[in-house]
Amino acid sequence: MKIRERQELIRFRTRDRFLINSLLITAESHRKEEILDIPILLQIHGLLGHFLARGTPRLLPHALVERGFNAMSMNTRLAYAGQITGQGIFDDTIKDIDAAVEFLTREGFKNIFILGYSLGACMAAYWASNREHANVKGLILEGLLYSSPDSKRKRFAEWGSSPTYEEASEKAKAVLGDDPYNSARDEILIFYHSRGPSLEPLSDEIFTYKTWWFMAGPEAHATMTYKHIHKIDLPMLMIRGENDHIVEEWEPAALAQVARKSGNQNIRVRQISDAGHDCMENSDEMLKEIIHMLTKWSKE
Amino acid sequence: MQVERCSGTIISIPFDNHKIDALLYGMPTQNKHIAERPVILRLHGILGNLLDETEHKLPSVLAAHGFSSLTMNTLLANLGLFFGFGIFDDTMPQIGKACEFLGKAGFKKIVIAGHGLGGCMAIRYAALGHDLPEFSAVKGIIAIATPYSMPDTIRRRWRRFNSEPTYNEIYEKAKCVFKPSAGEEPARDEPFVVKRAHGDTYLPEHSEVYTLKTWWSLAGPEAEGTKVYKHMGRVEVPILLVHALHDDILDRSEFEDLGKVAMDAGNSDVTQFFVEAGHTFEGRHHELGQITLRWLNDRFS
Repeated sequence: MKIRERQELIRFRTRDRFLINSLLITAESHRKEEILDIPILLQIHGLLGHFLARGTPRLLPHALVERGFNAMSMNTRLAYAGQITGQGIFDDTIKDIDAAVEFLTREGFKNIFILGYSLGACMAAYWASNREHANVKGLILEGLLYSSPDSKRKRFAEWGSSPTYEEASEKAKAVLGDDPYNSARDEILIFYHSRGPSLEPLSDEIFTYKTWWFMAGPEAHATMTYKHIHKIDLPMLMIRGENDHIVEEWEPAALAQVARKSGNQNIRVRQISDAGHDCMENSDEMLKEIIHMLTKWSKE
Repeated sequence: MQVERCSGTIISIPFDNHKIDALLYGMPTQNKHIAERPVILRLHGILGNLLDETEHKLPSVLAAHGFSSLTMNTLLANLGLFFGFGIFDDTMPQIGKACEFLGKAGFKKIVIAGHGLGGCMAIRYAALGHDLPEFSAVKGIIAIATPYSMPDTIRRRWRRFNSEPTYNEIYEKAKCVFKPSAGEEPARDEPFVVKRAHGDTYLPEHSEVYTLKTWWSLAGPEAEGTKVYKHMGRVEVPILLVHALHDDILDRSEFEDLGKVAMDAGNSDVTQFFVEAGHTFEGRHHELGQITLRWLNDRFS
C-alpha cells in the first residue's frame, strides 16, 4: 500500500536574513503528535544542487516517508547558483542549518537526523563540529570528501584545468586581499576543463573568487573535514557508492578513524554496491542503512 | 522566527527524459470553476525559478481572488544559461507540455504570464502556437517588463557599461561554434563571463554568465526567438502589457512600440499599463496584482 504523503513548502530566514526555502514531507496523519515522535531527516543538497535536483535530493524524502519516516529538504545559500552569484559562502551555511534545526525544533520534532549529500555532507559535518543540539540525534554523510580543497586541487591537475588551482589561489589572494570574507571586491571566475575530459560546458566550473576561496581554496578550513570531524560526538553513518568517481574508497574510512580516535565510537561506514556518487542508484541498500540508523529512535 | 507556509504544491510533469518542475497554486475543487476561470501559467525571468521570492507574490494575489496558477521551471531556470542546456527555443515544447498538463487537469482556459525573459517566452509561444492542439485553451498573454528585442536590450546595456568582453567580441567567438570558416570544425561550446554587463564594477552582481550556445539563442544578433517585436503581430489572443516606469533595463518607448506592433497587426484587445516601479516591481506587487486581476476579471468573469 502506498502511504499518502503531505508536502509543505516552507520558507524562513536565517539570523543574517537569508531566505531559506524548504520542503517538508510527512505521512498524512490525523494526529500531529504521531508525526513529531517519528524521526525526521533534514536533507542538504550537494554542489549547485537544490531539493528538486535529481538523485538523492529528489528521491530520498519520498522513499523515507513511504517507510514511515519524515523528511525536510532545505536549500542553503549554496543552492542553485549561489557559488556563482557570490552569496554562497560555505562557512555561512552553518547559519542556514541553524535556522532549519530551529524551525524543526519549534515545530516539535524531537529526533532530527541531518543527511548531507556530497557538498551537503561537508556542510552537515561542519555544522555538527561547531554546534550541539539536544534534538539532533545523528548525521548521515553521503559521499563525503576527506578534504574538499585537496580533492579539488587533485582533480584540477588531473584534467589540466585552466586556470590551474595554484593560479586561481594567487589571483584570489590578489583580488580579495588580507580579509577575504569582508573584502568589497569579488569577481566571477571560470575554470575550464576542471571536471573531466568532455568538451561540454558541464566539464567546466564557475565560482566567484570569494565562494571559491571559502569552498575550495588552500585556506578553506571549513571544507577540510578531517580537521574538525574529531569534534563531532553524534552517531554518524558514512555511506559511499562503491563506484563513486569523486570520493575515493579510503576517504570515509580515514575520516571515521579520525573521529574514533577522539572517542566517538558510534560510527558506521558502509559502501553501497552498484552505486556511484549518488547512492540512490541503489536505493534499497542505501535505505536499509539509513533506516537501520533511524529505527532506534522510532516508536513502535 | 518568521515562517511562511506556501499554499502551493510542487508537481512534476514528465517531459522527454526529464521532468518539468512546477508549483501549483490554488487548485479549485469545483468542475465549473475549472472550466470557466482561466488558470495562469507563469514563466520565470532570467535565472529565475519557481522558488524565487518574487515568483510567489503574484500567485498569492491571484489565489486569494480565486485564480489558480502554475509556475513552471523551464530549461532556462536556474543554471540553464551557465551550462549550455538553456536554449531559448527549446523551452517552447516545455510550455506546450505544461498547457497540455493543465488541459488534462480540466482547465479549459489558460492565460500565460511572464516577467522579463518570461514575457519573451510567453509571446514567442503565443506566436508559434496557433496550430498546436494544446494552444487552443490559451486565451490571453500577460507580458510584464518585456523587452522589444532582448538582443538589442542586452547589446545596449553592455555598451552602456563598457562590458568586458564587448558584444561584438562575443559574437565573433560564438560564430566559431555556429558558423565556422570553411574547412574548420565548429568550436566547442563553453561558458564565459561578461564583466560590467549591467553595472560599472567587476562584482558578480554586475556580471553575466552564458555559454556561447545559450547566448546565441537568447542574446545574439541572430536570436530570432527573443526579438519580441517580430512575434507580437502574430499573437491573436488578448494581451496585457505592463511596464515599470523606473525600469533601468527597458525604455518606455520599447513598451509603447510593442503595443503598437500588436495593434497594427489587428489585435483588438491590447491593454497597456504603467506602474511607478523598477524592473522587479519591488514594493509594487500589490498594484501589479490588482492590474492583473482587473484585466482577468474584465475578460473571464
